[in-house]
Amino acid sequence: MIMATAQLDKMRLELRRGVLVLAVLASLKQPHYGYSLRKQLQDGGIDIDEGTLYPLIRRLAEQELLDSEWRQAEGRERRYYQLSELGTTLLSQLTDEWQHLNTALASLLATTSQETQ
Amino acid sequence: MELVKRYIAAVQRELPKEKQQEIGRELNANIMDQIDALTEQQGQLSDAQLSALLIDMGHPSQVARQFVPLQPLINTDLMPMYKNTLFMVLGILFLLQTVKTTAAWLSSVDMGLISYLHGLASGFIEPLSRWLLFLCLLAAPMKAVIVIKTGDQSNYPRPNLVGSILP
Repeated sequence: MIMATAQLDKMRLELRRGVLVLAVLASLKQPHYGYSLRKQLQDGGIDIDEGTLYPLIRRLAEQELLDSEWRQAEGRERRYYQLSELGTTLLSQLTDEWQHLNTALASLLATTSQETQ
Repeated sequence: MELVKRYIAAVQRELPKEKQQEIGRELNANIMDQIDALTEQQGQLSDAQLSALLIDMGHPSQVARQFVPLQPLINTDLMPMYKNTLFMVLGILFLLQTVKTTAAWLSSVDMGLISYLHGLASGFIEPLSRWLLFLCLLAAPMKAVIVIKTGDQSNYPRPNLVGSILP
């Protein structure tokens, strides 16, 4: 049973990894700094810990999918991220991909659940 | 706040020089935001609460690894070639050493089986370690060559497929 839980955790992590990229890109149509992005994702039902999120945004920015700038607000500097032009193009392609996958999977999963019944 | 400073410094120590400043600055901003949010909920944070928050973020070296993952000594693409070469070299070294030690054994009168085996092993290990080092050093520039050949300047190629943006 413990084995099964560990395996489930690992597979969930793998499954989530790609989706998180999509979630982050989609949320960054509006500018966000690290903490506000995390809050927004959390409010949207996607729980992501800071150890995953912050390196991920940095990586996406290094890949030029995000633009970033330091801004002063409330007496504190914060690095704001927003979707770049490249990021916008990619997001729309990824969205198509996601929708395609989602439809395909939905019918696959539906037939499997019918068979098991 | 002294604690936060020390935490960030500990993370920075584990990062490559050129990224220390940037990541440290950003990490500081993120931690400050988190502290603000907690303060709003629970009032002024005690030292214990602050250290609990930092412990929750993870060990500094773990945090550093999340930002800059460790690069393997040998590129994964080169792994099969590395293994082949390694086993070939190992075989040749062993053969040479067997010949050498056997010759010494045959020509000496008082060399027993134990000292034969000892000679075989000790004569083998020294060139082996030299070769391992050599192959590692050889593999490092090879990696650079591959990177240049594919025109990929960073470790994270500009993605055009879903798979390639994954960390």
